[in-house]
Amino acid sequence: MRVFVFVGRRLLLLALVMAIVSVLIFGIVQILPGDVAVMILGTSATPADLASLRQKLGLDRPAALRYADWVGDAIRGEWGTSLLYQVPVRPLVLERLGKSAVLALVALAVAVPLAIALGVLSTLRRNHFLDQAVGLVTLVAVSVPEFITGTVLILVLGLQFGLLPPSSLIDPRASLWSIAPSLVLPTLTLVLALLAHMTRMTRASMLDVLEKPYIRAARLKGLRPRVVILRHALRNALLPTVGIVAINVGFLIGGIVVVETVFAYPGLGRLMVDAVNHRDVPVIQMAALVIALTYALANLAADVVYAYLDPRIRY
Amino acid sequence: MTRNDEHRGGTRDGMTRRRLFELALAGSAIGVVEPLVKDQERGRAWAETPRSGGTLKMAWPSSPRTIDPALTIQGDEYMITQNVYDNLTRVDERLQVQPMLATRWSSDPQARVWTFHLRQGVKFHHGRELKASDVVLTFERVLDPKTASPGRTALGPIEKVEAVDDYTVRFRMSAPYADLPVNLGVTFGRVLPADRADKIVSEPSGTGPFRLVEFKPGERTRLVKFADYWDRPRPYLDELWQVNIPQHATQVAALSGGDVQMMFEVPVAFIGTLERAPGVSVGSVKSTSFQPVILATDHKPFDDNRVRLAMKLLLDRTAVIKAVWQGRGTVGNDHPVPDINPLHAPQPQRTQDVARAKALLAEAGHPQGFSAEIWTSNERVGMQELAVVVQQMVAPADIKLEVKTVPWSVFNANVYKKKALYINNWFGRATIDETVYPYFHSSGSWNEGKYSNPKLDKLLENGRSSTDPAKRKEIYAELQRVISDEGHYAVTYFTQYVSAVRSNVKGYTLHPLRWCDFRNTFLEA
Repeated sequence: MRVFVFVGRRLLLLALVMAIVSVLIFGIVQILPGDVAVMILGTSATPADLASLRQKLGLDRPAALRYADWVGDAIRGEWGTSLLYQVPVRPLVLERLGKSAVLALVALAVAVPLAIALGVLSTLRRNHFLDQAVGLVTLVAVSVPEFITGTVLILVLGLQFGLLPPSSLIDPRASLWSIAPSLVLPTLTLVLALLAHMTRMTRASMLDVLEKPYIRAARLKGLRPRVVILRHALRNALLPTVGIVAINVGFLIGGIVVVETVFAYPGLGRLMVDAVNHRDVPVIQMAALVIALTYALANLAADVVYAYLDPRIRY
Repeated sequence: MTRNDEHRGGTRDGMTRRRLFELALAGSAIGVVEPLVKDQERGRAWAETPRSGGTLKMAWPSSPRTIDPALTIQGDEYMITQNVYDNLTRVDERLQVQPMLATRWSSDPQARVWTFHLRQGVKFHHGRELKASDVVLTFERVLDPKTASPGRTALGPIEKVEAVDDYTVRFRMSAPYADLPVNLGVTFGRVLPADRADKIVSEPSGTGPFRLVEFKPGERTRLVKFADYWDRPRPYLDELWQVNIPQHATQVAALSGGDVQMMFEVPVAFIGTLERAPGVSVGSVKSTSFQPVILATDHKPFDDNRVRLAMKLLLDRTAVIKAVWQGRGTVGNDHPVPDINPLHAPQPQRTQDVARAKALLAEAGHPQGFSAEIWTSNERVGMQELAVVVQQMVAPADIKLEVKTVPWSVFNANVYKKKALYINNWFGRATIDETVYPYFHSSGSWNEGKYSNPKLDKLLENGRSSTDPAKRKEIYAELQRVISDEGHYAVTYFTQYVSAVRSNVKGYTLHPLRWCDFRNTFLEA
């Protein structure tokens, strides 16, 4: 019962956050130079044409009313039409969201267990060769920009050895299994970029926890090292890592434009950048709102996981 | 009949029009069996028979914004509409006009009234037969100011389009216009179905060889074979995809790995890599694109033709092409008509002559040279390199240039038509009239050098109204000479259009206007 109350309160908070975010998104789009009518009609339009289009689009009405309309339409699922491509915004954004979600889930499914395992291994072999090797490799991987890692992976695995498809051209009719190979290289690139942060956070907080009196007590009690590490130390040490994973979910959905571009992966990030470049306001607004929502939901999920990991946590 | 009959290779006596047309089609089929025709190798390797089936994926760095032919302005959009729709006429790879939906046409002697006869039995993708009313709607729609089509002024001075009967269409011009058949073959002239004018984007239907089944902007556009195409057995491909791959490096990887079968355009930097890649063929064709040095006649010192001519004489064109395009390009002669244009006139090639340039400068009152800024943009390949090369080449005449580089958007706002000396980037056009008139007529919309010469204006107007091939040839030859000697352009080169395919792609010919026609393309087993 308690958990429902907790989640319910968090959901109310989330609604508040989304309301604030929507005001920010709408406000920022309003102050972008050049309005929608100019964008649609181009530079050769007459002032009369512009005025009539503004009236048709309702751009002459007060901003507060237009904001209310936009929010109302967004909630009712009427997301409008893309100015750039003349197609409905909702399928455009949702389909890209789905593709971004697939890549994000696959990348996290590989990166999170790997990072935790490497973090734990580093603490167990602290300051030895393995610890230093893990530190060096993950730091190098995070320091090299993704467009370089991605390109090198394409060159080596895709072209030199011909093991994997170098781009992510997904056939809409293909089965999940047959598209899997084209996800390998982008996933690998993302994993390399994500690994360092999570590994080092796990390692640092494991080291911290292992110094705690209750670990000494557990050891003195005669528990097997595996139980001490996994049940007593790791569970407590994971809290900061969970926070980082949550932030990365949002990042993977909306912020990996570089990887999406290098591998020609049709994700939400690229859609957003194209829309901004072409002042495609309906797409900018909805894509931004969807990305913000994923961040908020991921953080909500993290809060639930916190509470599970550490029963003392109450909100 | 006033169709331009200057086919290269000539025609034989006693041939019927039908036979001629069949030959023209066969000719195009012959031309296209080569793996991306290289200029010199045209006409080889013609023994293969096309094979049906397969999917061809073509990589593009950009994505279409719209699939409404009246509103298309980019190559990626042209590729889609070219394969979904047909035009009345076809502008072929030699920039000659050929029949397509119109089987024949004629005009009155003044080139003011044009009559086009339509092919019968042509079906739209939704099953209805093509009628003259469809053609009328198509052009009325482009000409309607409400459509806001860039084609409204580009198609020529069309006053009225009318259906004479179901298979005959008449165009009435407000001024003589000999180039109309060529202009109807360009991107705005795709013939649309009159009964679906409000569904051009949502449910496109054309008479072309492929149906559009999926349009995912920024991702891909998918076309599938139209089984009832009038020109059976074409098309040979089952599916034709346009896929959006923003990075050229990724495109190169995708082509080398066989993920895509074709790259729209290969930048100079990647040509070597692809030429060494197994299973890939690189092809190139002379294009109509050029990058002129603009010498604006409304600014000193370029108001004096001696200074303009001196600038032209200081440029070593072969060296320019080597420095800017690694040797890939055709030498230009200071006018915008490329040698692939059927009305290009052979003239003595202008070559570097520093002594004569210095003498002209001295005569014009600049014995010590002068200083100026040369403007260019870093967002179009070649422009910046050309500016630096020009800076070095005019230095021996004591002309000191400072290179000013700006982004393309700033260039269009503050440099184009405003500065005295700059590099520009033009794609070139299908018709001779569009190639010269807007750029050099004193009232021309793209006359960026404010060049005004009553004699040239007269020549440009005469060219428009003349339908006699010999007369046209004479007029346009004179016109090219005047522009070369006195105009505000120093044209040092025309660029090449370079593309690459998997070696099993056959029956595709590169078009100098960078158009992509897949009617004859097939995949070898």
